[in-house]
Amino acid sequence: MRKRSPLQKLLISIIAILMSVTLILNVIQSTRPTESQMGEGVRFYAQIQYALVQRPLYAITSFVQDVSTLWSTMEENKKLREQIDLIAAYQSRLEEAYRDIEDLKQLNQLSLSLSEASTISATVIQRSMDSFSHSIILDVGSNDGVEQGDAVISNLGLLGKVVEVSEKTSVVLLLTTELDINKISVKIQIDPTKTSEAILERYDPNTKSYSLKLLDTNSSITTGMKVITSAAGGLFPSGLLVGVVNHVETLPNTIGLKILVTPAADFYDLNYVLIVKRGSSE
Amino acid sequence: MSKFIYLILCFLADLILSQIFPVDYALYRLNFIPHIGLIGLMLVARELDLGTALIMAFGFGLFLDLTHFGYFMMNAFVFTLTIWVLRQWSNQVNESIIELLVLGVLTIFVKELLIFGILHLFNASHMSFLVWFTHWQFLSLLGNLPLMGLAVYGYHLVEGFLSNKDRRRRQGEKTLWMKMLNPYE
Repeated sequence: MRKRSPLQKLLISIIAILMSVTLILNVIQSTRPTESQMGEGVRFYAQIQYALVQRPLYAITSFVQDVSTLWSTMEENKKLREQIDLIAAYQSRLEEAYRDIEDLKQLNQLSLSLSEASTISATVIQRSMDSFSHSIILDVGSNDGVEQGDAVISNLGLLGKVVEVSEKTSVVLLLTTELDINKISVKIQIDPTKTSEAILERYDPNTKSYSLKLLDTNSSITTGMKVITSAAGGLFPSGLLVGVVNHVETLPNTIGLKILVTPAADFYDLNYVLIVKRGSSE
Repeated sequence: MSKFIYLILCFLADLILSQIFPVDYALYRLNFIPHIGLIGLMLVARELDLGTALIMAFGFGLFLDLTHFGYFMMNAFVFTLTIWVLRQWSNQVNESIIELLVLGVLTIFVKELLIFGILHLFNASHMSFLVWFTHWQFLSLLGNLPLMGLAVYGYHLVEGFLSNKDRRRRQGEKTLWMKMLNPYE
């Protein structure tokens, strides 16, 4: 038998140790801390990478961007000052709206409003850089109140949901994944008072749109209608913007319509996100 | 050891570039994915025997699998198979920069094609080949060309450093041998 070189022996030893640790941790599933060890490598690496590489790089690119747009800063400041003056008025109107909601809930004996939700701010510390795992890792975890299944949104719309939570980090699976685990209850806003329920089945990379299945063929769906989450599924709070209808097609030989929806969220610029939790019942 | 450090620096460069050029998961933009680490692995693997090259590729792939969320063992399997395919072609390729660039482009294409094929085989993706090529491959292959030149230049620097080190060691041995032969000079 041909002898192995020292380098081969060293590499085989390292790989054997890594595989053994992975397999042993897979077999031992009796305790919660052991189960979480499988992802510790991912989380540790993500935090190290964020601290040593991503954060300094982001600081540099932000500085360069700010310097390059310095000349338009004065105009932006003027607009922002005008908006700041209006914040006080919006704040009082918002508080008045909350009081009205509470009054209506008491009148109708409702204990929970489906649109109530609290949010947790998070920073993206790692994003997958390959074509098959559409996931990001956030710097908040169970210590901050994050739970599996929570919705994640950006300032533009729904991004995905939390699939794995550790104490300090969370893994979010984006809606652009083709894995068949992202069926979400949504509703299409036909007009300000009427909506139609649908199921978001998956993201189609060929049409670059979400594919919805609408069961109620009596509803007249047209392009341009907004699609928001429905709380009927029990997972996400109601009212999170998913996208806008861009194509409606009658399915041959089956009931229902196939609807394509352009995503509202931007899946390119992902630095700061919000985790949305449904409000708890009183 | 120098080559191992060179590989680490290549993968670090990948990490930095992936932050500067993030991926658009919705495929509205053309995506550029840096592959300097894979190119470095290709250059090092050409000089090693097949067994060591495959083990090294498996090790790097496994490291990526353990530090990134995704399909476990995907990178380990794909890296190993890519290096094996590369080694079949590498014997026909000389050391000229053009041939190395072509080999590098083919290595990246084979690696990504393997991933595309595996995902389709297990019905984990419905992306058409045209969409995959235009949105994932085209800009990656184009953008990695200058990076390949840098990787090859870096590899030549490492080889130059190693050959200088070897020459100095042999000169030292020759001097020592001469001293042993003529102890009174």
